[in-house]
Amino acid sequence: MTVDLPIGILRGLSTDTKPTSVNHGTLFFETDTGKTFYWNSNISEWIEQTDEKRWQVLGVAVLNVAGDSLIVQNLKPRKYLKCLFVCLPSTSANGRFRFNGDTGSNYADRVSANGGADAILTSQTTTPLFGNHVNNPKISIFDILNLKNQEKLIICHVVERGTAGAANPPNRGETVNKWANTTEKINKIEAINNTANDFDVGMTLIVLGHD
Amino acid sequence: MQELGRTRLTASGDTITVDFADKPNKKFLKIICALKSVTDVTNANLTFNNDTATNYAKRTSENGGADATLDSDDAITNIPLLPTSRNLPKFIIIDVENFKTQEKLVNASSVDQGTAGAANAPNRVEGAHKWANTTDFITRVDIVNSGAGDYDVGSEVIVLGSNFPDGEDFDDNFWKELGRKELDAVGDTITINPIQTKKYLKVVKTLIPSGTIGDEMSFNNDTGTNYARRRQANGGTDATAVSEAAIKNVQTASGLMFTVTYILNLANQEKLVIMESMNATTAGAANAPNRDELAAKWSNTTDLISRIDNTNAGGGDYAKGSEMIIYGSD
Repeated sequence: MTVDLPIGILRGLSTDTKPTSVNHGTLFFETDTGKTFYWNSNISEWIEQTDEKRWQVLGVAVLNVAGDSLIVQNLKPRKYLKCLFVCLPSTSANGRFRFNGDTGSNYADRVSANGGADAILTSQTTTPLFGNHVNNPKISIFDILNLKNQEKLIICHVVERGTAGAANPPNRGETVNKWANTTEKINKIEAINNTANDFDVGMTLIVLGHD
Repeated sequence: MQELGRTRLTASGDTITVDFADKPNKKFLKIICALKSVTDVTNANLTFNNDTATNYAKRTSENGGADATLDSDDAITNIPLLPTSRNLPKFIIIDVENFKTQEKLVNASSVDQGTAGAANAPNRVEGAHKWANTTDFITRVDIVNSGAGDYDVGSEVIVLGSNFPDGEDFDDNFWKELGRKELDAVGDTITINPIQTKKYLKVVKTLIPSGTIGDEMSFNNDTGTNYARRRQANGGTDATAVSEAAIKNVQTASGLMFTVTYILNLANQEKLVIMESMNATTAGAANAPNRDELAAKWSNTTDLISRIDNTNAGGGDYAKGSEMIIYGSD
C-alpha cells in the first residue's frame, strides 16, 4: 500500500506492533511542527492526534480548609469527562454534585446501595453519588457524557469505607444520574455537603476529559 | 494511566505478583487481571503489600444476587474477589483509592466465561472492598488462587496508576485509540473496521436516538448464534440470553444512551465483556435515567477481535453524531 504522508519534516515514524494479515498495526508520524498523526486504514486518512482527543487532566481541587464545597471550574468543553472524587467527611457529611452552578430542580438519579433495589430521585437540586450521610471516606469514580445539546449522563461507582477497621465491611453504591440541561457543556463541577458538618482537609476532586 | 508494572505467568502457578515499589505514591490505581485456568477450579484473592494478616473486608454480589460480606471476624487474610471457584477464564477490572493515610477502597467488576460455548451465559461479580491500612501506599499487588487448580501460562496482572497532575497530559502509556466512528447521517449501524488487534479493549459508545433505538454489539462481522450475555436492568434480577446473534443490551431506548465496555480479547479464549450503560429515558429531570450492567461473551476461540459493529434493532435510527470509540492495549 502506498500512502501520502502529512506535510512536515519527518521526526519519527513508528509502528507499535508488526502489522500482519489480521493485525494492521498503527503507523505514527511525528512532524517538525510537533504534531503527531496516525494512519486510519478504515478511512484511508492520516488523523492528527489533537489535544482534544487525548485524555487530559482538566482540573484538580484539594480542600485545604474544612468546608462544605469543593469546586473544579473553567473546564475545557470536552465531550467525555471522568471524575475521581475522594470524599473525606469530618462528621456525617455527604457528597452531592452540582454542574455549572445550576441550583434548579434539574437533576434526576437512580441509586442502588449495597445491591438493593434501585431508588429513584427526580427533580433534585443536586445529584447524589451515594445515598448515605455517613462519617466515612468514600471514593466515587464516574464517567460523564457531556454533549452540549443533550442531557448530561453520568455512570458512577462508589465505595464507602464503612466504620473504620477490617472488622467492618465497606458499602457500595451504583448510580446513574442525569443533568437535564440541553444547552451547555459542563464547565464547572462542585461537590457539595448539605449536612450541618464539613468536608475534611485533603478531600480531592479530579476531572479528566477528552473529545 | 501509566503502567506501573505487570506480571505474566510463564509457568502455571497460584500467585501473580506485581511489585512496583520503584513507582510509589500513586494515589489512584487500576488493576487488570486476565486469568486462565485449564484444569480444575481457581478463584482470585487480592492482597496488598504482601499483608496476609486479617486486615481486609469485602462485599460482593454474584450474578446480581444479594450482597455478601466478609471481614476480619471471618478471619479473611485477603480480598476474595470471586465467591465461587470455577475452572474458567476470568477477566477482572479493579479501581483502587490509594491515599496513604486512608483505608484503601477497592471497586471491582469481573466476568468469567461460564461453561464454554454460546449456549451458556457468563458469570459476573461486583465488589466493594477495603484494606484497613492507614500508613502506607500500595506498592505491591498479589492475586492468589486458593482453588484446587492453577492459573495457566499466560495469565497476567497489570497495574496502572497516576496522581493526575493538574493541567497536564497525564502519562497515559496504556490505552491507545484504535479507531472512532461518528455518524454524519442517521443510520442503524456504527462499524469500525479494521481495528488493530489488542489484548485489552475499551469501547465507549454514544447513541443518540431518533425514535426508539436498541444497542447490539457484534465482532468480526459474526452474526451467527455465538454470543451469550447476562444483563441486570435497573438493579433487578439478572436475565440471561444465550446463542444470540449479537450481545444484546437495551432494545427500546428512547433517550440518549451512554455505554462503557471492557473486553478481554485472547485469540484462543472466548472473548469476555464487561459492559455498563445508561439511557436518559424521557427528557427532563422529572424522569430518572435507566441503567444496565452486562457480562457477555463471544464464544469464538480462534480469532482476535479486529472489527466491531454496533447495530440498532429498534424501530428508529441512530441520529447524526452517534459515535463509537475503541481503545486498546496489549
